[in-house]
Amino acid sequence: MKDLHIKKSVLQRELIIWIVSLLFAVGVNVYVIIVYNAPWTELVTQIHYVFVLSLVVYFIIFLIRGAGYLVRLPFRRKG
Amino acid sequence: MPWLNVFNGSSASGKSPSDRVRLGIIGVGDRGTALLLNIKSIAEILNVEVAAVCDDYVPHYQRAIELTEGKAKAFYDYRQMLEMKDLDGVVIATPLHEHARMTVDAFRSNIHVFCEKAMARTIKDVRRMYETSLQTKRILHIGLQRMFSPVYLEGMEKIHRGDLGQITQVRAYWHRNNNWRRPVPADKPELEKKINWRLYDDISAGLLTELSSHQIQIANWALQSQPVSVMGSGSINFWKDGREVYDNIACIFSYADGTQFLCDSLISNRHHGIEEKVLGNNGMITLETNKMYSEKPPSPPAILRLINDIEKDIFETIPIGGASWIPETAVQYTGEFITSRYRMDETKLQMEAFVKYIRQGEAPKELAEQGYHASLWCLLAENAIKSGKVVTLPKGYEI
Repeated sequence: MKDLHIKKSVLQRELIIWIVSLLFAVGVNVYVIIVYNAPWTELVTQIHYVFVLSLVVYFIIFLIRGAGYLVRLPFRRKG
Repeated sequence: MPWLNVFNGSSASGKSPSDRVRLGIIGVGDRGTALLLNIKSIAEILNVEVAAVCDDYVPHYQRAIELTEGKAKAFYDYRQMLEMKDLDGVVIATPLHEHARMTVDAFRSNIHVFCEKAMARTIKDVRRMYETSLQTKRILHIGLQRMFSPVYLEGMEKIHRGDLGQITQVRAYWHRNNNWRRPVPADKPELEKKINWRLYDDISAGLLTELSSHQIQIANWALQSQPVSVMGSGSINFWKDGREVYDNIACIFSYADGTQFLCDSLISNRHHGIEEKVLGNNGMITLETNKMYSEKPPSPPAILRLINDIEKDIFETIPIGGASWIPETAVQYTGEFITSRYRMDETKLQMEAFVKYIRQGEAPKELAEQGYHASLWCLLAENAIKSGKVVTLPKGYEI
């Protein structure tokens, strides 16, 4: 089996995207706590849902990035 | 609950904790065997022993000797057992019509009594048992074991604290799907009545005394009161096999404050099983299933509500015609647990309590009163069904 090498820069970029997704999910939780007049303890008690939401957001961004890559693919120079 | 003070460890008069409590068991059928095994399981911890066993049915008599490894004295006649000088208490688990004379005889022999529910076959005998207990100052503990169940105790605490608001109705049902018969040896058909005593009117009131008596006690306990009247209906509509007691009953018990207790039982469909529901304007408790349902259920977390709202916006159809009325079907809400201490064996707990009451030399008066009212009202319900009339408490039966 071939070893898989991931560049440090790629890893850093993916981590940053996921952290942004997590912050977005936390922001959504804060928003709905205000909108639904829910207790602020849900910031901590519902963290598992926030985590799952961040992964969903990360996956959506991944799909968008994949689509962009596919669109750009024919215009790339061979080389 | 007053009857639980016994678990606080206080010991008034009676036997000292170092004295061994000696019990006799009268009737070692299915229930008597279960009670015997319960006593054996607490024998070492509570310093109690089954000193005597009695049954006039030979297979049960032999089983009792085996279960006690021959250590207990065995009798065919309970009166001989009551002559034993060092017996502290007896456990009576015989057919219903025998409870009264055995209990009264035990009291007169200065022996405390644990008697299986219901108390007796007639209201006169119920009264006689209760009065003799008071006269002889002997303990009368009726086997309504839910009084010792942590689920029921915590549930009742919530009910009496007002967590459900004003209690406006209690409803209970006990449904099974079997003929309630036990096999009779083919060569001894004369044993039919002895073995299937629950099916014969002169011995038992059937579903009322054998099942509903528990639920009547629970309703009284929840409402902290006793009914003022009862009406009911019953018939044999399925098991037409020569039995004399109803195979389905439905009763309504009315209380002084206008609250109704609806109670039914049948043995031809087990879909609904068993339940006691206490309904108030703020919520409902279902005691058998250890659940409490608020009328205003707690909201789900905000983040889930957002997801639900988005899902609703996407998938919900917009009606453009059709019925203007939506059926008021049951609220779909799974409720919360009353307690996490639901794994404790209430029958064992009540046997522990009986032993401790003997050691104290007395039991809380509420214990006998609960048994008295439950037994009395299930027999009055039988009168209501048979007469087709609303039945009230006869004079002389108040306590």
